[in-house]
Amino acid sequence: MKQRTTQVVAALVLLAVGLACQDRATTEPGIKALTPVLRSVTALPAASATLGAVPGQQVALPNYVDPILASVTISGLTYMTSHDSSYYVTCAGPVDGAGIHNSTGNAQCSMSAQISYPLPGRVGLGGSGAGVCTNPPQSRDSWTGIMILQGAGSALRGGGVLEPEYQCGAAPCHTYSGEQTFIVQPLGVEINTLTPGSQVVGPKTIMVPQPGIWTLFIASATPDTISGFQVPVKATSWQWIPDVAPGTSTVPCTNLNLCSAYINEPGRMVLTAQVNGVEQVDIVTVVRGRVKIVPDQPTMKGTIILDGPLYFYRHEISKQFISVSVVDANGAVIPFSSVDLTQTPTENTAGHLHIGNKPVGLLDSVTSKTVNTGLTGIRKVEFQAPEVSGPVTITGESSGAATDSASIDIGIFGLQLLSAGPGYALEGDNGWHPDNHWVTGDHKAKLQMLAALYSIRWPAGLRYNDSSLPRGGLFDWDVEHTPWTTPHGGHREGQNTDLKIIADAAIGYHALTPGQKAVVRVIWIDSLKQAIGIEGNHYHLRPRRADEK
Amino acid sequence: MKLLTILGLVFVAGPVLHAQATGTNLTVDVTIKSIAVRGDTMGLTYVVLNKATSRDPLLRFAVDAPAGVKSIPLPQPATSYFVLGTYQGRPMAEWMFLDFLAPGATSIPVYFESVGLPAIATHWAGGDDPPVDESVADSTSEDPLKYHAVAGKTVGVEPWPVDKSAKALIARLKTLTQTSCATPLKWITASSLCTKLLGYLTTAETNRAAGKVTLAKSSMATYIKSLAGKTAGTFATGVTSPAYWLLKTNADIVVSKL
Repeated sequence: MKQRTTQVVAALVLLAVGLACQDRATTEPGIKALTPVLRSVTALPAASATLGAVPGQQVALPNYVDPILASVTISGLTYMTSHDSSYYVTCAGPVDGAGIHNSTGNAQCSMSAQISYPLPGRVGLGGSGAGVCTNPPQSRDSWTGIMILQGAGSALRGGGVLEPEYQCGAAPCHTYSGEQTFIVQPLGVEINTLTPGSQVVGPKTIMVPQPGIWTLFIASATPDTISGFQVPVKATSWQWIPDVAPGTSTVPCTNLNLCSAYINEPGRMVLTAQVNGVEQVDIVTVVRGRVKIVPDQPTMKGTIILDGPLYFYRHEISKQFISVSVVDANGAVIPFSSVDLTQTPTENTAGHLHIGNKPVGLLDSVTSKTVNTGLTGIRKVEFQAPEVSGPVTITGESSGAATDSASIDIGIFGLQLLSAGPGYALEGDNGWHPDNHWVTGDHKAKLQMLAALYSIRWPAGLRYNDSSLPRGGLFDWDVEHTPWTTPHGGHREGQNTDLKIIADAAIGYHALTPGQKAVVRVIWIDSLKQAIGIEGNHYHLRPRRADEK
Repeated sequence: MKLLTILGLVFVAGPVLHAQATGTNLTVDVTIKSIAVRGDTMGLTYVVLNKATSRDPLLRFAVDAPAGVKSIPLPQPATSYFVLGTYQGRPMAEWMFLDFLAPGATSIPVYFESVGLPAIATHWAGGDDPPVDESVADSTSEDPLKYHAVAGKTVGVEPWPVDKSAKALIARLKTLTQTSCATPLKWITASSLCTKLLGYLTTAETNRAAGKVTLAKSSMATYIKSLAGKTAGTFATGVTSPAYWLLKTNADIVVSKL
């Protein structure tokens, strides 16, 4: 990335050289490569000012009371036209912010463009002295730098070429035009509280220290440096909020960036700070222990519940145990801890691209619950998988303890994608279920065999609709009316596929004749030893059940 | 409890369903047109009549082929027929009449080849058996041949026996003759002929055992001649096509082994 940026800058330089007053090679004094500006998290607003070509002109830039880390960009060009009789320097073309070097007259950079703040002083392309500006001048139309700014700022235009008019027949020896734009963009940086020396048990979560140990909190930012500059952070308050008031902790912190506190109990340390000029709040949670959620298995099949008369009776409840505990800093379980358990689905997974109300299964037969870890400190909770596939995250929260969660991936693993092939096409995919042709290896082979044999006689072949989703499970084809419910009851394990038997004029598909349907059946049933049902406009291709004669 | 209920329904409804099973309201006559012997391979040609008394058009005709199906050419025009060499993994010659054979109609000759000896085999004839509508209730599929076709006996091919000697083949032919004459087949209705045929085989075996090959062959020739009618292509009185082709072909093979 850096190499690419350098190449772009080099290309701009080469292009600009061709437009300069005189055709000669130049150096690049003072130029800085463009530094990518950070995505603004929380930042002060940007400011801009336009500086005309009048020598010595200046315009105001924002006044920053406290130091601010900002990106400053100067863009645009001025143009200088010299009288035929001028003697000091001659030019007829663009001049960038570095200005043009006048070695014959006052030996300075004329027409430079700079920003000026008490901190860091005057910066930009321009300046004085050989090597900063050149003659002929350069024509770089953009310059960006990262810097700390403080105080009242301004954009400055350097002086013109001080050549007496008498040398040019009483006419101005040099005239100027054009303008440059100055943009000051303070950078957005997030607050971050550091806790060196503490036992971190989660994001912004640390353990209560051992008795007698002080906890150090430091107001900082993420990142804490940019382009080598320390991000300005100024704490304005530290507030300790114990989980159970009143606490016994000692927090002798005011508005310093360092806070050394004596923490005795779980609670929250709330830091308020100016981060690069923007007030932000950060919270570090201090806990007595941490919850542990440990499932017996990271994956499991989904539950299958099908009832008659629409479906052949199947109640296959998929269960496993989840171990729930709270452990202290040494990993020892804390008996009689109360833990709130909740389940969260992972949306847009397992082939379901429709969100909201995705089933999450049951914990001890309910959707969420609070358990006590009891004398042993470990409670086994029975988790019943939902019928819908996809990861479910089980989260345990306990007062004074860091939260933990575990994800259990639910579904059938190892299904294969059925792609369109010789003798058959696929259909039925939609925005809700774009991946609707996942099957077992055996079912795939049989579908392909059926199509191959059928298409020998009728090359137009067959059209297969919905098999199973990538991870199997409940296939709620009618999302619009009955999301997460049971139509397509059989299409859960990659062994059921629908076959179109009616005409579809839109795609030039003809209804299967009685003879064609008979051939489908004789191949599927007689040859491949499978079973067929009919569901309105399609055949339902499936394996034979063990109970079938 | 639920399972018991389901089983109960099956017991109550089963016999009724089978009595009215789709595809079974038909009766067929299966005629053997010829059996061609090429080395160890038999080529059998059948013609099927869907009797006028049938109510179902005929869709499928299948013959058990325990010796395997060596070839089963597709009848023409190809769009009107479909053939398979196995049924759910079991060797079987199966023809589908895609235009359906109406009651009273006779099929074109259908043919298959198998390596083995002509033997008594089961055939099935079935009408259309459309799938059950699962949009109302989940279905329970049934074996189409077992529950949606009518079974009968015809001539098929069984694997060559391990003992291919003339003695063994004569004994086998004797059994086939007895079976053809007896119920339920009754492929030979003239009991006197049956007695004669068995006598010819006994004589042939006696002569063969005595080393009198010429006399044995003579007895077999008489056996074969007794099956045929007075004119070419006809059978003796009381001999049906399956009896003729089953016994005649096996007798020819016995002769070739003497």
